[in-house]
Amino acid sequence: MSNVTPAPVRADAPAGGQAIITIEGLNKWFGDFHVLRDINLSVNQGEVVVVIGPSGSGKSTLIRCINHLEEHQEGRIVVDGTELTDDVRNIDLVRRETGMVFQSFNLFPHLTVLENITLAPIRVRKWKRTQAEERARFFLDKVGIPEQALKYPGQLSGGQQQRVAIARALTMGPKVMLFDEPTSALDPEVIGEVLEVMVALAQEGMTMIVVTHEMGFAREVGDRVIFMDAGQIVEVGSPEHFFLAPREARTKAFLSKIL
Amino acid sequence: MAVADRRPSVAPRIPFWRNVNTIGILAQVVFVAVILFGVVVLVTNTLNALGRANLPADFSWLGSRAGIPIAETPIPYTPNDPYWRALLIGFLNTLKIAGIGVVLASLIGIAVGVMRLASNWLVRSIATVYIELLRNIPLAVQIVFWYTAVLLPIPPRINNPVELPGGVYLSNVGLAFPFLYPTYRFGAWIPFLVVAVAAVVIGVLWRRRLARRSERPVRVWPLPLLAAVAIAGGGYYVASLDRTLPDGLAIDFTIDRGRGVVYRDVDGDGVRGPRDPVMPFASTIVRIAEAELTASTQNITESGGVVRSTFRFPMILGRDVEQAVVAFGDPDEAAERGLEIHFTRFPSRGVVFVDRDGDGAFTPGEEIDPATLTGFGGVRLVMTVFGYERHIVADRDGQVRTPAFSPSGTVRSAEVAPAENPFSVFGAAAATATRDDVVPLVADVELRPAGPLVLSRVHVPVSSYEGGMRLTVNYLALLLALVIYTSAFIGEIVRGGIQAVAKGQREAALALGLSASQTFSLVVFPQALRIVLPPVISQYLNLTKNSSLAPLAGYGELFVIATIVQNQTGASVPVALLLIASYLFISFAFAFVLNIVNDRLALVER
Amino acid sequence: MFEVIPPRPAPGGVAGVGGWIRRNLFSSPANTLLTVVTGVFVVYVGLSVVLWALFDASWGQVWANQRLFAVYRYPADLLWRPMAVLAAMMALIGVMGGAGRRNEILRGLFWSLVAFVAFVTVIALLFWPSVRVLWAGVLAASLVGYAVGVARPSFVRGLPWAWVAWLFLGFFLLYGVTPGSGLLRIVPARDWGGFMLTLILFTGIVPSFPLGIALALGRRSKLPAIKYVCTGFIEIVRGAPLIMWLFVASLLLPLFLNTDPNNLPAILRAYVAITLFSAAYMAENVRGGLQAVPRGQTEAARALGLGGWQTTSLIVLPQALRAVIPAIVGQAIGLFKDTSLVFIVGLADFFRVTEIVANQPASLQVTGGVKLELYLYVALIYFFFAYRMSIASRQLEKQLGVGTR
Ligand SMILES: Nc1ncnc2c1ncn2[C@@H]1O[C@H](COP(=O)(O)OP(=O)(O)OP(=O)(O)O)[C@@H](O)[C@H]1O
Ligand SMILES: [Mg+2]
Repeated sequence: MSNVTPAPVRADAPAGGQAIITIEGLNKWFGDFHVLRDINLSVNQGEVVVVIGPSGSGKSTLIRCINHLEEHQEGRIVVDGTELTDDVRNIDLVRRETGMVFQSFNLFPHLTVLENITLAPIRVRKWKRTQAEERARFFLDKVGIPEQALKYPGQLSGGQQQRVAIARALTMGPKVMLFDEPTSALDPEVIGEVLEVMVALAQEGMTMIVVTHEMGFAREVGDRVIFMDAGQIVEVGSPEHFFLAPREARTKAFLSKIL
Repeated sequence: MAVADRRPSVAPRIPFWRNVNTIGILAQVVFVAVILFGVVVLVTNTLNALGRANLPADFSWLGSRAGIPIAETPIPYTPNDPYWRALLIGFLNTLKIAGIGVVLASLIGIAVGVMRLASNWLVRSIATVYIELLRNIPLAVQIVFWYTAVLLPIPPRINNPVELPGGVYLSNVGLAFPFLYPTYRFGAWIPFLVVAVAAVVIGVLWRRRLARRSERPVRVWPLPLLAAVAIAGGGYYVASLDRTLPDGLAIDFTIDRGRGVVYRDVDGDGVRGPRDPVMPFASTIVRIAEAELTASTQNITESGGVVRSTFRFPMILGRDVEQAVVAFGDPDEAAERGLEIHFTRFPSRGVVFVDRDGDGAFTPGEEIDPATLTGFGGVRLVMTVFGYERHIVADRDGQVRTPAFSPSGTVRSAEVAPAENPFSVFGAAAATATRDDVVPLVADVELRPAGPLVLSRVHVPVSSYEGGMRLTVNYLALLLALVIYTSAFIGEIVRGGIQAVAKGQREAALALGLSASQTFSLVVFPQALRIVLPPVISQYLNLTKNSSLAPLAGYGELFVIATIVQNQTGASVPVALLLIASYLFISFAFAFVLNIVNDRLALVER
Repeated sequence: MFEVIPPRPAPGGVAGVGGWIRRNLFSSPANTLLTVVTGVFVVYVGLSVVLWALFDASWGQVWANQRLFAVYRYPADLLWRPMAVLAAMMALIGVMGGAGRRNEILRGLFWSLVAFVAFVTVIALLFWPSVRVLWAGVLAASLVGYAVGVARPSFVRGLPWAWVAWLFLGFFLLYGVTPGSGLLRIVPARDWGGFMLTLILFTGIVPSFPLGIALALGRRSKLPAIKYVCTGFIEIVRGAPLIMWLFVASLLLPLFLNTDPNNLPAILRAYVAITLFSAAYMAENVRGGLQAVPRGQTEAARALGLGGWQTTSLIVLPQALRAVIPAIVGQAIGLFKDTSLVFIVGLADFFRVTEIVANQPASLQVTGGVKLELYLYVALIYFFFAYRMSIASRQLEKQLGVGTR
C-alpha cells in the first residue's frame, strides 16, 4: 500500500435524521483477499438505501456484515445503538433487530409456511404460539398470500416463496430490513409481485438496505443509491443523480450495462 | 455519529464467556479436560487392574516362543518361532485371503451386475435372486454354511481325493493345484524383469507423449507390454542356459521313510549338518527299480455312506511307474475264500469281493460277506511297482517325499491280473509267481538343473498333499463365503453404475453412429467405471475387514492368531493395540488408494 | 376428409403376455438357447432343493429346539417377561403404524411384522400350548397399538420417549428384580440368548443414534479440538471390524473399569461395543446429511436470530436426518446381520444357538447331520427381516427422491 491512502468516499446519511446504522472504516478480508475497503456508511431511520455494483464487488458481503453473517476485521458497525463487537450478546441483539431476505429465499423446506414464520418469534422472542400465529397471518395477509399458510415451501412458486421469506423476516418486528438481490432468482413475471411488497414496506417507513439492480424500484422508493466496485463505495447519490449525471467513469460504464 | 477513528475507541470490556473469540477456546478447553479426565481415569484403572492380575502391559513377550501351530503359512514358520512371527503370519494370511478374494469377488460381481441388466428375463431374475439372497443373510451364517455344511462333509477324504483336470486335487483337506515357484536360478532372471518393467514405464510415457502430439489415435499399452514380455521371455531363456547346479547342492534321502531334504553342503563334508541351509524348490527325480507297498482292506464310513472292503495305497499314477502289480498278501487264504480284487482306480484304490454271481466281474453287494453282513476287512494286499520314476519339486522347506516303499518281496504274495480294471493306464499285467526273494530297495535320486521357475505338481504320497500350491478347506470356505457375499454387493454397485450413465449418453453415442459395443466401451463403460470404482474399493475394504470372521472357518489370519496369542500371554492391552493398529493400517492403505483413484477421476471429469 | 383412425391392437410380438415372453425370453436364437439352458438349471436346482427339503431333510431338530432358538435358556416359567417386552414393542410399532398409516412404507413394515407375529401365533395355537396365550397377547398388543395410533395420531410425538422408556423398563423386566425365586426373580444374563438376544443387541442402534449425531456435529465443528477428537474416534472405530471391537471390548472394558470380568456380563460388553461401533457409522451417515443441507439454511436461521443450538436442532438436523433415512435403514440392516458376531464373546445369539443345537446328541445321531437344515432355517429367518428392511429402504429412497417437500 502506498503511504498516501486516498480518502474513502463517505456515504453519510443526511443530517437531521436519526442514524440507525453506522458503519465506520469497515474493512474485511477473505484470507488475503480484501473484499471491503474503508466502507463508511450510515443509514437514517426510515431511509431506503439501494446498493448496486458489478458482481463480486462486495455488496452481499457488506450487508451480511451488518447482521454479522460475515465477520469484519476492522472498523465498527453499530446497529440501533448496539455495536457489533466480539460479544455474542450484541450479535444476538443485532440479529433480532434486523430482518434479512435472501436471493435464494432460504425457506425451511421441512416446515410449513406458518411454521417457517412463527419459528423465530416463538423460539427467540418467546411469544406464545397463538400470538405468533396471529402476527404471522397478519403479515402473510400483507404480502398477499394468506391462503398458503399450511403449505410447504416446495409447493409454492418462487415469487410466493420470496414473499413468505419477507413475511418471515417482518414477523420478528425488525427495525431494519436487509435485502440481498431478492428478485434475481425469480422469473420475470413474478418479480413484480415481490417488488410491490417491498415498495409498500418502504412507503410504510421501514428502514431498508436493498441490494438490487431493479432501478425502477430504486427510483420509486430509494432515498439514496450507493454504487460499489471492487470492495469500495465509488459513488453515492439520489436515484436521479445516477440516472441523469453519474460522476465516475466506472459508474457510467456499469449503468450503461444495466439500464 | 461523527465517529472518525477507524478502530473502536474504547473496546467495552466483554466478559470472556460472551466473547466470540474466547468462547470457542473455552469450549475446547472444557472438552479436552473432560476427555483427558476420562482417559486418565481409564488408564489408571487399567494399570491398576493389570498390576493386580499381573498381566503384561508391554510388548516384550513378542520375542518369546509362540508354540502356535498354524496350518497355512505363506512364509516359513514353525511353532518354535516367536510371537511376532506368528502374528506376521496372521497378517500375511489376511492379505492372502483379501488379495485373492478381491479379484474373484470383482469378477463374479461384474458378471452378476451385468446379468442384472440382461435382456433375458430368466438370467435377470437369477441375478436378482442371487444378490438379494446373499446380501440379506449374515456373512457369519454363510461362512459356517460353506464350512461345516458343505466343504467339510462333501469332498472325499484326503486319501481318496478327486482329481480335477489340470492336476488339481480336491479333498476334505483342501484344494491343491500345480504352481510355479522360483528356484535358486531366479536371481539370474531378476535383472531382466527390472529391465522389462522399466521398458513398460518408459514405453508408456513415450507413447503417451506421442498420443498427445499425434492427430490419429495412438494405442498406448500394446507396444510397451509386448516389448516387456519379449524382454522377460528372452531373459528367462538366457537365465535357463546355465545348466550347472549350485555348489554343494545335495539331497539327503532316506528311501524306506520316503523322505528327503535338499540342502546346500556349505562346509563340504558331504553330510547335512546344522549349518547347511535347506534349498527350497529344487527339482529332483527319484527312481526306484522295484519296490513294494502294502495295504489292508477296511470298512469305513465316508461322507457318502459306508464303504466296505476298500483298500487304499498311496496314490500311484500311471505316469509315475512302468508297471504296477497288486496281489494278495496271503494268496492261499485269498484263494480259499475266493477273494478277488476290483479296482476303482488302478492301482491304488479298489475293493475286495467274492464273485458270487459268477459273472467274472464285480457287482455291487459282492463286497459284503453274507456271513457277517459286513465287508471283508483286514485283507492284506501288496503292490509291487517297477520302474518308479517321479519328478518331484522340493517344498519350501526342501522336503522331498515319496510313498514309504519297502523292499520288494518282503511279503509273500501272488499275482493277480488286473485285467478287469477299467481305469488301467497299463498294458497287460506281468505275471509273477509267488515269490520269496527280496529285492533290495535302492533309490536313485538325481538333482536336476532348473530354470528360474519350476512347475511344482501336486501328489499325494500318503495322506497329505505334497508339492504345488495347497489351500486348506478353512481358507476355501472363508474365501468362498467372502467372495460370494461381496460379489452380491459389487454386482449391485455395477448395475447401479451402468444404469446411472444417463440414457441420453447411450442414445447420443448411438446417434453418432458408434456401434453398440463401441458405445459400451467408449461411452458407457468409462462413465460407469467412474461411478462404480469408489464404492467398489470400499467393498474391497469391507471384504478385508470381514476376513476377521475367520474363527468361524478356523483359518489362521490376523484376528484368529491374535486371539490365540492373547489367550496364551494374557497381554490384552498390547494385543488390542496391535490389532487396532493393523486394521487401521489396512484401512488407511485403502483410503490412500481411494484418494488416488478419486483424484484421477476428478482429473478425468474436468 | 379427416377421419379418426380407431386404435388397432398391436401386432403379435409387441404387446400382451406372448409379446412379453417373446421379448424377454426368446428374442433371438442365442437368447432362446440361454433361456433353455438356464431354465433347465433353475428347474434342476429348484427341484432338487424342494425334493431334499421335503424328503431327505430332517427338520425334527429345528422344530424341537424352537425355544432355544427363541430365548435360549431363559426359564420357561418366566417366558411371559420377554413376551411382554415384545408385546410392548409391537404396541409401540403399532402406534407408529397406525398414526402413519397414510405412509405406505410405515404401513407395509407394520403389517409385515404383524403377519410374522400372526404366523407364529397360529403355530402356537396349534402346537405350542405353553405359549399360546403369550403369542395371542403379542398379536393383540400390536393391533391395539395400531388402533390407538389411528385414534390418537398425536401420540406419535411422545414416541421417542416411549421407546427410551421401553428400553429401560424392558431391560429391567428381562433381568428381574428380586433374587431367589418368584415371578420377578433375576435371570442372569448368561441365560439370555436366541432371537431375543439378537433383538436386544439390535436395539443398540437406539443409543447409537444420539451418539452418532453428536459425533457428526463434533466432526463438523469449527473448533479444532472437538473436530479432531470426533474425527479420530469415528475413523479409528470404522477402521477395524466389529468382531475385533467385540473382542477388544470384552478384554478391555473390565480393565478400564478395574473390575472383575465376571461383574461385567458379556451382553453388556457386547452392547457397549455394538453401540459405539454403530455410532461411528451413524455419524458418517448423519454427516452426509449435514453436508447436503445448504448453507443458506443456517444463514437464514441465524439472520432470524436463532442461536447455534436452535439452528442445529430446529433447522439443520431435521433436514439432514430426513435425507439420510435410507442410509440409516441400510445401516440397521447391517447391524441386524452383524449381531451374529457376538459369538466371539461367548454369547448364544440366534446364530450361535444353531451351533449348540447342531452339537446336541440328538442332532449328532441323525445320519448325515442336521447342520444344513439348521443353517438354512436360521438363514431364512435372518433373510426375512433383512430383506423386508431393504425393501423399505428402497421405497424410502424413491419417496425421498421424488418429491422432497
Ligand atoms: N466465503 C467467502 N470466502 C472467500 N471469498 C468470498 C467469500 N464470499 C465471497 N467471496 C468473494 O468476495 C467477493 C465479493 O463477494 P460478494 O458476494 O459480496 O459479491 P456481490 O457484490 O454480492 O456479487 P454478486 O452480485 O455476484 O452477488 C467476491 O469476489 C467473492 O468471490
Ligand atoms: Mg451478492
